[in-house]
Amino acid sequence: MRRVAVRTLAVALLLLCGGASAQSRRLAVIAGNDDGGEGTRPLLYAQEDARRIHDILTRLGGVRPEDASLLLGRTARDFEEALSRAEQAAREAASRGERTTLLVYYSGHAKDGALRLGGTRLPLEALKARLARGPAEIRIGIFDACRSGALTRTKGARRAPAFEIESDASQGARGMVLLTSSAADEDSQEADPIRGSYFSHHLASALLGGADRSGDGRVSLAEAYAYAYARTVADTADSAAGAQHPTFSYDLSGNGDVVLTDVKVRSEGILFPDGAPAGTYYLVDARGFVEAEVFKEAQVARRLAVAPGTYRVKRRLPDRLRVGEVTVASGRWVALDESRLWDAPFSADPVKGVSREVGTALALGLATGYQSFFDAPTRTSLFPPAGMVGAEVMLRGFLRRDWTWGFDVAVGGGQGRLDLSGASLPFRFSETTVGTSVVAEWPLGNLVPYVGARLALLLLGRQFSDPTLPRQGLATWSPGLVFGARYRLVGGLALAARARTHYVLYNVDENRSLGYWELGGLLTYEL
Amino acid sequence: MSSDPRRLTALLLVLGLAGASACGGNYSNEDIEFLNALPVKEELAAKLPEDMSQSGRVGQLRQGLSLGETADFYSATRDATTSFNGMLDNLLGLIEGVRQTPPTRRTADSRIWGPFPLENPPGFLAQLILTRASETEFVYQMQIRKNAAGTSWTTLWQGSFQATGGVRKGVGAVALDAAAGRAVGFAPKDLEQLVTLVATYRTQAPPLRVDMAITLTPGSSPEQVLYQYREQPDAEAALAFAFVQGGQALQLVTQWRPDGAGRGRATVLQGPSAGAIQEECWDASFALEYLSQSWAPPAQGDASACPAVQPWTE
Repeated sequence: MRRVAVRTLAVALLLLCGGASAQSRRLAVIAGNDDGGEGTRPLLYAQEDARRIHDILTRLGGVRPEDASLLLGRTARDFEEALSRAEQAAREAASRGERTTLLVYYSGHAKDGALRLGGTRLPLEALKARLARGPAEIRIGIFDACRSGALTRTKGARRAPAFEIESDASQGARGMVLLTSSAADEDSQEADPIRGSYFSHHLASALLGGADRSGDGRVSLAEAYAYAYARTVADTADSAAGAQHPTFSYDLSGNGDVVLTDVKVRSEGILFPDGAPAGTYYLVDARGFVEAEVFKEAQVARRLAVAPGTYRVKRRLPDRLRVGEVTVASGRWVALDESRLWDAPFSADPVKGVSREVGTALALGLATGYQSFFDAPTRTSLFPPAGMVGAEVMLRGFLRRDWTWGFDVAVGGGQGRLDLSGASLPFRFSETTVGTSVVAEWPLGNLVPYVGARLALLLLGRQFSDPTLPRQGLATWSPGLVFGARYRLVGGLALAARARTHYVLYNVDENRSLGYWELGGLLTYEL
Repeated sequence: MSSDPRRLTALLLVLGLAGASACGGNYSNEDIEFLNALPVKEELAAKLPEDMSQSGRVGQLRQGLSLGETADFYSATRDATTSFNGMLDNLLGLIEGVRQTPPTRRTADSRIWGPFPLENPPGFLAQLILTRASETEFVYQMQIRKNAAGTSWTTLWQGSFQATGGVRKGVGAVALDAAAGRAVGFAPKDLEQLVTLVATYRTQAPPLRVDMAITLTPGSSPEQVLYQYREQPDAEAALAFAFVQGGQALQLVTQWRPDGAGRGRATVLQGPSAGAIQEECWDASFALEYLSQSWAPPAQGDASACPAVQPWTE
């Protein structure tokens, strides 16, 4: 059933218009939600998938950033509102005579005939009906969700494994195309090494240039679907959940194919020369996850328009790996030089995610901070404000997805004065803290806000300038809250700003409940 | 992805270990306020410029002293300051020990150190109780008892301090009752001949004043000694000491400048030579510059060479 009607889809896509012309306007609503609400297990990478597709469409897909709505962890209402805004923009563009295309992408849960966005639901039939009557001339829906094939299992739709490419089709198509990651009775699967779902991962690789079989630098909808279909089926064939078969449906009139991305538009990425050995090349990011992959045939050049950065390249041979490193600079193509790859045993596979049960990542950090007690007399004569420096180790994803368990140590100090019976006794305040924290994170692209709890052991001490007075110290446990946001700079490097507020029970002279705040910065590197 | 119970267990284990760790400390503003009431030995000690080559004699007015020799009164003063500081050490040495130790117990108006065992003599326990009698007045007691069940505490010495503002600024007194100690078998070698030692001090305004009265057991030589130490902010200082021995009483008042130059006046207060006076002045190298003996005029040297010092006050 799943491997039928190849030709019918080919004909359908022949009818689609090709390319994003100067008068065309592309709008996109891209949503990802790991949480499917009651009765579902949280996904690991749905939001990551959405971010990746958003990045590609805005870089290479002719979608202006202001025309793309990225919804991460949002509700069905948010989704519908974003869709309404896109539809309104399409109407306005159409009134100016522009051709309009609306791309809707969703990665997340679908169950019982509805997309599940957290605790909210968006009925599939209603969404499909809305897309069908939408104001954009071409509406493309891509749904990466369990049993999403239900969307294509209706009257007038088709499903097929892949289709032929017709690159010379004429323009003028109107209508709707739906792609789904799996059939109506299949689960959509994720994997740690690729940090995403199989379907979206391969769709992304396709859009980056992996599917550009024609070599013209333009990846059409047909090419992308064919590539994603083949790779998804191949990768999931031996999985415990069984093979996963993407589907499509169309309802179009007119002619042409739709170009989804133009890999040459940014003039940056990796070029696999025609002379490079054939095989599947994997691009691995600094964290050990496969950013993209491409199958290169012999004597055929391939381009992958990946974002600037440093990637490790891996090609698998029967008895060993060929690995190397490539740095992509902004605005430049870098050609892969086979002579600069080296042999490596399978044990040296740069893909790290395979062995991690829930994608645990280890990160190291250097921190600075400034803390001060809320109570003024305490701040003046007992624990003066202190500057702190420290180091931290973080286990991301160890406890659960998007949770980080951190361990930190910091030292610091300040100067204080104890006013006593008309005299002022200066002292040097010192502090050492050892803490552990658990924070929940909400990744929003490169920005990751987080909030959590922390328990710290405070070792406070002071030494008076008067040598006859003893050194004083206090050790106490201090619970607190942590708020912050991390911004990924490049690779695994990130800069964070955070605030802490802590409770301190002081019980030497008397029992007093005290509190302090701390503001700080953190430079982290994820291994 | 749901949580892994084993990993949550690891988290709970870490938090449990953390919670089981001990907390506490001596980080206390109140402690500092209490400690401010205790005298510091170094602050009350007499400071005399040192010349280690000579040793003087107290109680003898020598004949035949020549200009240029080390002044007798300088040497006598040095011996007296050594004795004075030694007595302070006996009196305040234990306080120096507790000063660097956190109190054993704290109440709103008291700090208690001890009980802790003593090494000299062994077999005794000691405790220091420091009490805030009012906002500015503190009293303290050093108590001892044999390290045996059923024994009661005996106050060996007690003190008080009236704070007047500032770091250890005020008026204080410390009294050591060695006889009370001996009554319960507490007889360290340093205090064998001592009956009582009473020291009073005033630190609230210049000059620093420390008076110490020592009573020794009958038959000791001397039987009673009185020290009076005055110290100006610029380190000019004076020491008066008087003693009574075998019906004779002698007082020596010496005053010296920070550079070591000084002057002294000895007066026989009681005894066959009552009324005899000897005066000496010495330079910064402690060499005698002026000598006057009431029983053997004329004076030697020039009296104008004597250093100018603040008038002596009782």
